[in-house]
Amino acid sequence: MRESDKSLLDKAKKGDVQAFEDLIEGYQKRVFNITLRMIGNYDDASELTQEVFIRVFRSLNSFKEEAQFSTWVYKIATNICLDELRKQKKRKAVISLDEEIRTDDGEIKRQIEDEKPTPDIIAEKNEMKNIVNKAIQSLSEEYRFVIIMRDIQGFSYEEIAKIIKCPEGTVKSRINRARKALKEALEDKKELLYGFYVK
Amino acid sequence: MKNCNEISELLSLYLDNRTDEKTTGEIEKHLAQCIKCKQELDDLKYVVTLCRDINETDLPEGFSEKLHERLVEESKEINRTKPKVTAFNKYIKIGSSIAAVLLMAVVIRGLWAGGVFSSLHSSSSSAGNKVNTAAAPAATAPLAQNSKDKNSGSGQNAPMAKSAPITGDNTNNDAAFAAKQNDQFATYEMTEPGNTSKSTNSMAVSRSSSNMDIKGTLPAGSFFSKSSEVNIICDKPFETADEIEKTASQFGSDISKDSKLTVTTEKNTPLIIRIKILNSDYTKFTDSLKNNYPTMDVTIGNVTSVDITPQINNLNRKINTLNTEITANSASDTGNSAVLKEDLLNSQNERTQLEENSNYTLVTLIISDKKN
Repeated sequence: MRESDKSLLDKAKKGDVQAFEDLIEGYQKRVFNITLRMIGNYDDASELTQEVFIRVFRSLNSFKEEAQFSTWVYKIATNICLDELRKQKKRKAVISLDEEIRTDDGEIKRQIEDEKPTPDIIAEKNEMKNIVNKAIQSLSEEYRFVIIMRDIQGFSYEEIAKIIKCPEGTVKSRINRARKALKEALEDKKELLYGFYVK
Repeated sequence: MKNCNEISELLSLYLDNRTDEKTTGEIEKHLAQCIKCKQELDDLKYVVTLCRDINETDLPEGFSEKLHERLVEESKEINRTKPKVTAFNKYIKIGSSIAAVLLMAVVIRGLWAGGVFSSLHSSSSSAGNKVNTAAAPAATAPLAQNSKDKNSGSGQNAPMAKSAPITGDNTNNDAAFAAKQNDQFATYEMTEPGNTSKSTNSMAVSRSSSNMDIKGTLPAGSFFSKSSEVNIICDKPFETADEIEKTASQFGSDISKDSKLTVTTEKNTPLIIRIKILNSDYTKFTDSLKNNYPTMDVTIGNVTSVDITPQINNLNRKINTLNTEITANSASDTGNSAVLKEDLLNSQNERTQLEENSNYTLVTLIISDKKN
């Protein structure tokens, strides 16, 4: 931690709001973007990001200074996102994707779109980015998380391992599987995407 | 030679330059011969590039202003729960609290004389201390109503007139810990061993009450597994206290931040200051006291340790129960989640605090005026 940050942290621990705001200035946008990609809803992500920093402020005295402040902030952000996703899951009716729907004409497969999130994130003007965002949203939470952290936000394997408190080996294999899953999710759109993408 | 499946598992790491030289060589050799794996690598590269091309979204409009308002509110809340006293009024406040302290002492003495606590008083053991340190939760003081005291042999023990709910199978540690959790307005009675103090037979110490003199932000009821007391007899207790605080700040304890809590002072009773000192600095600190103040009568007491495992276990049990409740609650959506989560967060913070405090020794400095 830089000396200036250390001083800001000390002040913030005593309740100095200005010092805290200066301390978190570099983290706000990044935390918001992580939350936005994880949750997929702009307003919810905004509210949750506020919650992250309130939680950080409230818990400053329990921050162990031998740890990296940034890692600690992202860890709190991750916990809040995962917690919110769990809550959302509980709220939604549990419907198996594989469950077949009985109709007068027999059984039909449920349309996968029924279960997909309805992300406001699709505000991207660029069609290609829309497609990629949708594909990321369709991934499982753990795959989505590592894709966001590694490939969108550029965190190192070590940082991700610290944030989610798991061995680096797990992160390596999870990133590998997540990328393959994303590749699969984009498979249908390959032709369209290749139109935008110059290899 | 690795096969396609093995190569496939390594492609992501290869892409991130995370494979060692030997593996990189093997992969490249394989890719030169295998169109399928080469295609898979190109696809992965393509996926990663697409992700990296995603632009950052700006913070919502008014985000910082809204956060600022919430932080200011939060800060007020923190200040409400952690009263701070400035250097200017720290001693002025003492005067206003004396009346309350005296009243409390009289009431408790009355109860004592009435025999309410007499059966417990006998459990107090003699340690030859000027004043006992029951004010500190770490001082392993048995709760007055806990007649099943399991640790009454310790020289640090003193009867403590305090009403605190005790749950479970309380050891002495549990009792002190239970006291800690409920001592927002705790009142403890401190009696000298054998009830033979020359200055006061008993002294009530009110902690965290709004009209008490509280310096620093050491949270009321902070539990320390190690504690000791230092008796100092000098000419000018207040000046001595300030000097000792400076000395303590040289030993790893950021005294201006959260390491001290003046418990009480009364005209004819000792000034009591509690300071947390890193365990590793404790000896240096006490040596420094002896060396820096040769003209004073400084008596360093033994360090008393208590095992915090029962408290940690209790908290772990509570955290597990809360987690289960939160999960069940989310399923039924009864609306209690926020309360439970707050409770969970508090318990987790408490556990963290407890673990952190185990690095420190709580030193109770009892500074008496020579004239008394």
